Amino acid sequence: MKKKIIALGFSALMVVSSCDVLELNPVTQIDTDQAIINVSTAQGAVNGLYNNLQGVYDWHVQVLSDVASDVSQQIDTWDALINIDEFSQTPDNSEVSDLYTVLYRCSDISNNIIAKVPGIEGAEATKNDLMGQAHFVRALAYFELARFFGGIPGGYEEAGVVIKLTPSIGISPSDYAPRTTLTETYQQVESDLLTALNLLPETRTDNLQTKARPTKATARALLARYYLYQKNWAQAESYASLVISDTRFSLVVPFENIFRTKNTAESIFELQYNNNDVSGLRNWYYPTSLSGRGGVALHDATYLEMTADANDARGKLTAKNSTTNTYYTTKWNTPGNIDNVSVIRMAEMYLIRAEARTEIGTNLTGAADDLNAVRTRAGIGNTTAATQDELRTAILAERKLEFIGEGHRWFDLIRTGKALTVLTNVKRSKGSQSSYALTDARRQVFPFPNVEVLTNTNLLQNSAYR
Amino acid sequence: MQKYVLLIFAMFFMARVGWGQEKTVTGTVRSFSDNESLPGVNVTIKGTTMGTTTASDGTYTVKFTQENAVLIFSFIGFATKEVEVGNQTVIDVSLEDDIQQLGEVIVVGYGEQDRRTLTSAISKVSAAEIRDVPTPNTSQLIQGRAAGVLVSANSGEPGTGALVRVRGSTSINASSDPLYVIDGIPIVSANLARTTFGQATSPIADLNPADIESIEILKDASATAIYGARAANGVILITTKRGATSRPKISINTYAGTSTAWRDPNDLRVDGPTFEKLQNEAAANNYMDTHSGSLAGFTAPYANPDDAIDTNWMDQIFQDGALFNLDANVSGGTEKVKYLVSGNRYKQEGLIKPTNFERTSGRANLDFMVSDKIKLGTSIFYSTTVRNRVQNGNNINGALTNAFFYPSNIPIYEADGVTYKRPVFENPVAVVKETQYKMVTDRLIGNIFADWEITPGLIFKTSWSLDNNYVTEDQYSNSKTTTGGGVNGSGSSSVTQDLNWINENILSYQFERSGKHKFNFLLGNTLQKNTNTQVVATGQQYPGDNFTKISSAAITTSRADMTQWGIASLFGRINYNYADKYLFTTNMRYDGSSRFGANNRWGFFPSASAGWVMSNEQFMDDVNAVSELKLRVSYGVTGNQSGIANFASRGLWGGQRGGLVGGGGTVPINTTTQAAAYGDFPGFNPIQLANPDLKWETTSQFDIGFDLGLFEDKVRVTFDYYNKQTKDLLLNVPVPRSTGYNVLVQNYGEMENKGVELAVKASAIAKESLTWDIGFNISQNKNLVKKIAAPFPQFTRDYIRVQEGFPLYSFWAHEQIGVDPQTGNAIWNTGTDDVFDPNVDRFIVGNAWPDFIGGLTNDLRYKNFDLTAFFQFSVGNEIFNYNRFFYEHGGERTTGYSSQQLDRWQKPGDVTDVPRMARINYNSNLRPSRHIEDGSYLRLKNLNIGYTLPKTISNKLGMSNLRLYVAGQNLLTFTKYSGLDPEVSADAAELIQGVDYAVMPQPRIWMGGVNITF
Repeated sequence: MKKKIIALGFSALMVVSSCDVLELNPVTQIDTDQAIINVSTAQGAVNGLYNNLQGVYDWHVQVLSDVASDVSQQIDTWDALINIDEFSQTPDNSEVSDLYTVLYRCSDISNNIIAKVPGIEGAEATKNDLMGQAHFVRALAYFELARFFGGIPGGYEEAGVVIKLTPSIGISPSDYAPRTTLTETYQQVESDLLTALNLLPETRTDNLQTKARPTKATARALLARYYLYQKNWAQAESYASLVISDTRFSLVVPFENIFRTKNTAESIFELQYNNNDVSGLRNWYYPTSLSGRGGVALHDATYLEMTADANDARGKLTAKNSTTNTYYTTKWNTPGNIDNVSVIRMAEMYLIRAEARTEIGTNLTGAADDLNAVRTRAGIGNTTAATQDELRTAILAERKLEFIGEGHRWFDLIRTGKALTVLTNVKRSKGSQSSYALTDARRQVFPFPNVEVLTNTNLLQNSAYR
Repeated sequence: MQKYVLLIFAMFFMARVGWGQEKTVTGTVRSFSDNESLPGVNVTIKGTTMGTTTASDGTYTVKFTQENAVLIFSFIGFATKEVEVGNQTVIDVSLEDDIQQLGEVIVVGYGEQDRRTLTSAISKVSAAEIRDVPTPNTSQLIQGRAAGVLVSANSGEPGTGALVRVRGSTSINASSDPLYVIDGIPIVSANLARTTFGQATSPIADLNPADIESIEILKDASATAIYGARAANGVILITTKRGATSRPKISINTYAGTSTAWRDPNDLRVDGPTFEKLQNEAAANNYMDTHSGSLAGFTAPYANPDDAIDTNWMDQIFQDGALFNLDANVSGGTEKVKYLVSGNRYKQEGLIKPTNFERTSGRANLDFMVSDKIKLGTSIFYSTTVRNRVQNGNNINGALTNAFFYPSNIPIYEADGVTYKRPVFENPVAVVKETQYKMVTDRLIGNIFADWEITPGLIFKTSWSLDNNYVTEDQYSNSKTTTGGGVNGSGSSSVTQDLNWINENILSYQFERSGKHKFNFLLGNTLQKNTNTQVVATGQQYPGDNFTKISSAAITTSRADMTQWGIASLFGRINYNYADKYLFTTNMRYDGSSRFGANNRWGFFPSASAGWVMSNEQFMDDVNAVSELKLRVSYGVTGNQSGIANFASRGLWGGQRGGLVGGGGTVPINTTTQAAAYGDFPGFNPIQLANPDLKWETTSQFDIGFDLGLFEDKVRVTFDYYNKQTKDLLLNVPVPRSTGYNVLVQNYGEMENKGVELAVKASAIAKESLTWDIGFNISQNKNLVKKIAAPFPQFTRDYIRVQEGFPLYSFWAHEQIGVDPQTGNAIWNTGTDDVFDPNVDRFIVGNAWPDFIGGLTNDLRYKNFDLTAFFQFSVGNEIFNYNRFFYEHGGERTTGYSSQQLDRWQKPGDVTDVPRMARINYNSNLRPSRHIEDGSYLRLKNLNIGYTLPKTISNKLGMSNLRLYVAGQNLLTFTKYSGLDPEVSADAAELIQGVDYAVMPQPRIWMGGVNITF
């Protein structure tokens, strides 16, 4: 009898307490279906989206592509970058893997916002804005994926990347998708940009919000860059003109103010960083003595180009690292490495229009004027280029000087088909060889990470890496 | 029932012997070893059940009528002694310890069992085997002493974690660590340090080894299944000492010693002039390679290598470490109350400045009888450990890391007295002098229990326990360091609390039928809840180097987290024993865990085992050599739920940035601690994919073995073969990253562990003045990943790869077959074609698993001298010497070299595996397999030589026993491994084993001590 009572007691104790022990809920996280349920959570998700985008432009896009080009070099021991610098990278590159992953995270968060926001209660304008931002960031993500891993039409092309447009909740067989064609990937970028242009507001409540988040002008600016990559010169010129004529934006004088002041009129889209979200550009370039890592420096030849004209304001934003005997850019100089990062700025619009006009060929004076606008702001004289060919060369050179450290050069060289001829005698301060050359055209795209190719066996590795 | 039987027997005997004249004998019974009087000793007249027990002062009076009577003195733990009475009226007796009988009780899950009727595979390590071993970490005490248990310290840092594997690894992403249970309380054993710098700490180091009575390692499913869902990796039961009926006994043990590096780190050092010559050689070779073999126009980077300065970084960071231990306990008791109170202070300095480990602990174990039927007891343990740590391991700010990275041709200090700074790397002198890293753990393990004997044989036990870990960590790098330099100091402080409460209720019933059928039933339930909270603050910009607390910092960040898990269980066991010949045990456990999906929350884990004691069969009576022969077989299912996130089954969004670190491998996405805010705008983001079907990892284990005793158990052999099959692995299955995630925790994949274990104990000589006991064990485990979704890489540069058909911890590298003696260039395995392509020609080359592990111990006693020599070995394990990847850089880096570079090819005809120093052989995209080395070793792990003063002298000093000893650890090491120590793990992650990268080596310790008993 006693036994029975005790056994009953056991069962009772078990039932009463096990709920307490088993029915636990996370405290710092919420279930996916509770994530985006109203305007304020949707806004939180959009902010989370930018938080992830910060991981794309903290330094990854800029440093990886500049080290791949003739702008910057890796001078310490981080061989993920050394291999890129020496044109010998392999698919075990963790930095490339990180960039690849965070780009798709941006895509997934955008997909969630695009799928959920139409179903929530809220003002149509607010919802459109949130959707527009998600389309814009997704466009940006696929644009980066396309140019890093797929190539650039007319420059060097392999296939496009896997496109995923629905929120991920679990995993389905369709997630093991093959690569799309390069055209399909770029078409996705265009489609998202046009949708974003339609949905985004013209302006926001204050300057910080206007710079920190895309507006219609931002969509136009990225469309200008997009059509430049597509060699659709008319559209590139047209969208660049729309931004240039937008009185809220201008070329900021003096040049260094673009970087010394946050959210200037130069910026069309500027990612905001603070002590909690550290951008890493300064850290890579600044010497150890100034609490940087000092692992990336300008190629000596680039430094000489930048300072050839003593008046060039851009050459003045350099300094010497006396420990490593190399030069670095001082565009980003806030201690704690918390500088904002401008993703698209006004000078690019002028240079896009200059290039588009040059290629169209009917308004070469206009092209030279745009080029000179950028040169004048930098404090140097007008260009002497006059013919189409001269202008092409001058614009490419100008883009290099203007966007030192900002990650344009590598793609400019591929886009214009000059990578194999320009990247032939690249001298590194630390390399064991006197110079390095890009000899394999197939290395104009980066490798997909090993882990992705092993996981998704339908995804074909780029030809140089298989 | 029992009483009846006894009574009948007694009457029968009484009737037979008849009646005689009554005699009276008195006397005192003492313990031979310490001359203490022994209360409670049974004194019986041989051939009868009559007799008495000794009083609390050890005295007895016995009356009897038999002629030629023989008195039998018996007491648990002592050899039974028979004395012929003859004409004596006073018989004083001293009883000797019965080593064999002491070893007979084996602690099992929720109980104890006689070794002879045990049907499962359990290894026992007793207090005597592990006394005076200088290690703070109890798990390292069992290294080499239990067959089938692999223990390998992560590093020589005192208080560090260790790899402990009972019969292999059953899991990939969940933990493969065993469950630790101390006095019935499942305790926290996984690292609680927030910042590991590649080196985990072990909460097991909080325990005081001197408190331990025995350690039982439950290995097969029959032994472990009673722990159900947490038993797949084996269970380590730790039982602490408790008081016995005796007068108060005081026991004090103290030792002090010093530790040094057993292999001189300078052996791996390259001096300043040699560094410059090597750099010149590489430059010259590279110049020739690009200038058609000519050196015309070549300028060496270093003009005068012979004039180079020579900084010895090793001497700057290494130290001889002091070691000190004092433990004392008082124990005793009466029939009603028994107690043991102990205290311990342990301090050990590491080999690298300024590391040290200090533990201060206290324990109170009490048992008191409230009535004849009810016993109440407590086991309360409190300890404070203080660790001063230094960064090392897989970390570019480490002390040893940079003692290699910093070339020897640069000075320690700049002209202004500040440590010299190279880009990226922290000056090793700055690491040891200008950074602080302190971790303090306060731990309370407390337990209150009650035993109620409801009727004879029916016992109810309830137990309430707490394991509270309170960890504070403070880190600070001042403005003289690279980390803190540009920001005027950089620091962090954190508080972590890991709180477990456990309730356990057990009903057991033991009875016999007709003297031959013995039954033992057990039924119980347990509930456990864990709550982990953490608060972290970081700071930068301190007003000066004297300010090290964040309250002075100008820029601060902070965060607070909290998470929980719980488990609820029902379990039962039936033991059946027929005439001590046929034994049968079955265990069942039903577990529910908060970690699993709503669809699969509960799991059932059964096991069964059987034993046949052949030596108790009649047909064995004539085989005199065999004193015991028992065949055992068991099969059962156990589970694993540890090591996965608390809410792994749920799709989650969170307020912390979901990010990856260094390529990510299969570390789930939510590894960052930054808020997912955008500037000042609050945000959140996806963290985890949902898997509502998530459930236990299940391991089925088959075990067959035998226990053999020869020559009256002078030789005892235990042999086991096991086959462990794990399915539904809790696997971070890589998913296409195009989904925005890198992994989904799934029950996918299969793992196999098969092995054999052999343990032999022999009493080679057992004479009064000379005894020699030998213990030997050897075991083999073959681990195999049988099925996973897709192979995936781990560790930086994808050096480790998990792939079907290979064991875990396999290394993935460019297979270097040799060096061409003519050209000096590396020869590579080129795969299917003749061209070496670093993109694709990578292969699995070796793994970290040993082929065999084991230990050999010799205990010698000659008169008052004793000697224990314990050897431990590991054969066939490979070590990936990642140091060589960095420090054998062939001139491709500007950082320092290690001495292995000196073996480079220099001229045609040289035979070596270190190729010619030129870019072609050292390009940074190469992952050469020559860095994967044979890590086999044999160690004289412990040597202890003692002298016990004769009783006459110690008694005069007021002591009952006094022993002096000298001891040593790691005195001899035989290995071909070229690094500082073959026992290494450079990374805190479970899947990364056998990697050596700037790991603090195991120390060689010399020490002296004294054991005193009052």
